[in-house]
Amino acid sequence: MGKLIRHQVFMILAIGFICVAIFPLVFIYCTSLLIQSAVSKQTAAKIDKFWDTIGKPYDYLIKAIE
Amino acid sequence: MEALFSNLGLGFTVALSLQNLFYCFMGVVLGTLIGVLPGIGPVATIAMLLPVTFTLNPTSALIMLAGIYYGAQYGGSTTSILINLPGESSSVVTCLDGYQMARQGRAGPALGIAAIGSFFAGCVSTVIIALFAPPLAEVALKFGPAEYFSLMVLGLIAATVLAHGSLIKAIAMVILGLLLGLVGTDVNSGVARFSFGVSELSDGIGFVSVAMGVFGFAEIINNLEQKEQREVFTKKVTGLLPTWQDIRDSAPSILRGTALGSFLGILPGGGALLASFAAYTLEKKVSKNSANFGKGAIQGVAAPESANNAGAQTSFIPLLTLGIPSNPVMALMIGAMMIQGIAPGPQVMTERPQLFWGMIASMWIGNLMLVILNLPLIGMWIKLLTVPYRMLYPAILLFCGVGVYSLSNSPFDVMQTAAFGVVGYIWVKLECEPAPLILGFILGPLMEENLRRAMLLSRGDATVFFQRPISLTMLLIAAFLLLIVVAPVVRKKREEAFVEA
Repeated sequence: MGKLIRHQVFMILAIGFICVAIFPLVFIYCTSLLIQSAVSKQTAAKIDKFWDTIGKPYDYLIKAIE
Repeated sequence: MEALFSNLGLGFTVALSLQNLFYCFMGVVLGTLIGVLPGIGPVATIAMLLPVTFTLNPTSALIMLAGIYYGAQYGGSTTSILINLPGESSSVVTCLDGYQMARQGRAGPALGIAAIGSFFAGCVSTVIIALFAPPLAEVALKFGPAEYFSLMVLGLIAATVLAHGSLIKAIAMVILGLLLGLVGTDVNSGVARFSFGVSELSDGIGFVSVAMGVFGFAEIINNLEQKEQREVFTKKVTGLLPTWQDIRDSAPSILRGTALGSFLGILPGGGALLASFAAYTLEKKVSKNSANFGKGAIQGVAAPESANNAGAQTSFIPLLTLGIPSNPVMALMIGAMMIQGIAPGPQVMTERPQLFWGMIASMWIGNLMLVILNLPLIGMWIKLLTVPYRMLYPAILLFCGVGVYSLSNSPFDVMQTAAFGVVGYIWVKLECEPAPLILGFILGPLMEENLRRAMLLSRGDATVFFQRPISLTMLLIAAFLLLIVVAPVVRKKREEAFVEA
């Protein structure tokens, strides 16, 4: 029971974090997609890698919660 | 900008009061509930709850009804994804990719991205309402009866053009709605019209009876015909939080869905349903991997779910600023306002700022409640899908009967509702959408009032509608809409827009 409650609390915290982060993320990510389409392939790949790096801690966090 | 923040401050003070928080919560819970249960939509639920709002204060009543509407958009996605049955008409397109994702063991991310997309869209569209409603209301304050009449003509025609299904049937239903609105005592002469000596009809046909009959009772009768087949695909949903890749794939779709939904929600006849279909079609067109659509593409869930929520919320703009309903749910909201003695229109914002801004602020709070309700508590909603209809429907009918009777303690109202239920069922069988009827029924008396007022002011000169520039523009747009919709190419495209998705 305690484990379930802990899981639910972590889940709510994670959702709260996503809800707050989703606003800047959507706008910044979509702008970066626009930039990617306008620059060279190499620069576009670098931007892509940057987003991959940012996402790694998020994926670890999600795995830990789930 | 300063005024906006102070108004929003007032709104949050109203929305965060214990009473309004409770009704907001009740609204979103009920909305999610009816969104989850296939067969009962927000129109039917709001129609059924109209008598209940009679005893509430106007702000709490409207906060609750609004919560039901946008809550249903959240809940509708759950059944679409898990059992391939849309709980709500605007979630039909979510079935296509959502259910495929569930079949691939990705029901969790599908539900997660649907909720996150809905939350994003809900919050952005609330900002749009807060930003655009006040200037629009100021413009609307300058409208005279001629402009209002022309605006209503445009509203009705646009609602017919953008409505789902046969155009001729939609026009017929609008006219029938207008005719039903004529029943009752003439305000100017005091003569009873079409009451046939029935004293109960001298006040006109009750709005609650029509709404509850054609949306509530008729929908229940029609659902009883359908075979009950509800096999929950994913009994235990895990991995609700989307991965980073899921978020990256969905972000542009969420943004496009929100923008398109917000725009379509404002249009007369628009709202959640049109927004979700259009967003799915757009997403399929702009996607580099359009072949993946229908096979479990996360964009196919993110875009329509964001769009339907954005559309549901921005459809409040014409209601709150012009007093014109853009879809049947908004028509019911106008009914609820009238029951409370509030004349819908731009003056609501100036005369009742606590209602206007309280409702806007409650949408933010409601959206947050919905994410919590729809993600960590998803298991509860899945369990609810196992409640058999044979137990659910009699309870709803009893509740409706008591509700209608309690309005004026009159058995005539109950009989009238039952009669509209039967007629509504016949309309369903004839594939006549009742939505245009309710718009005609609500707008009919308002149109008549403004038409007569405009004619009195112009001393019987009908050219007044063409002499005033705003009125003329609106009539020209209405005529243009009618002309283009009868063009075979446009008519075909209109039908395709709903079928393609």
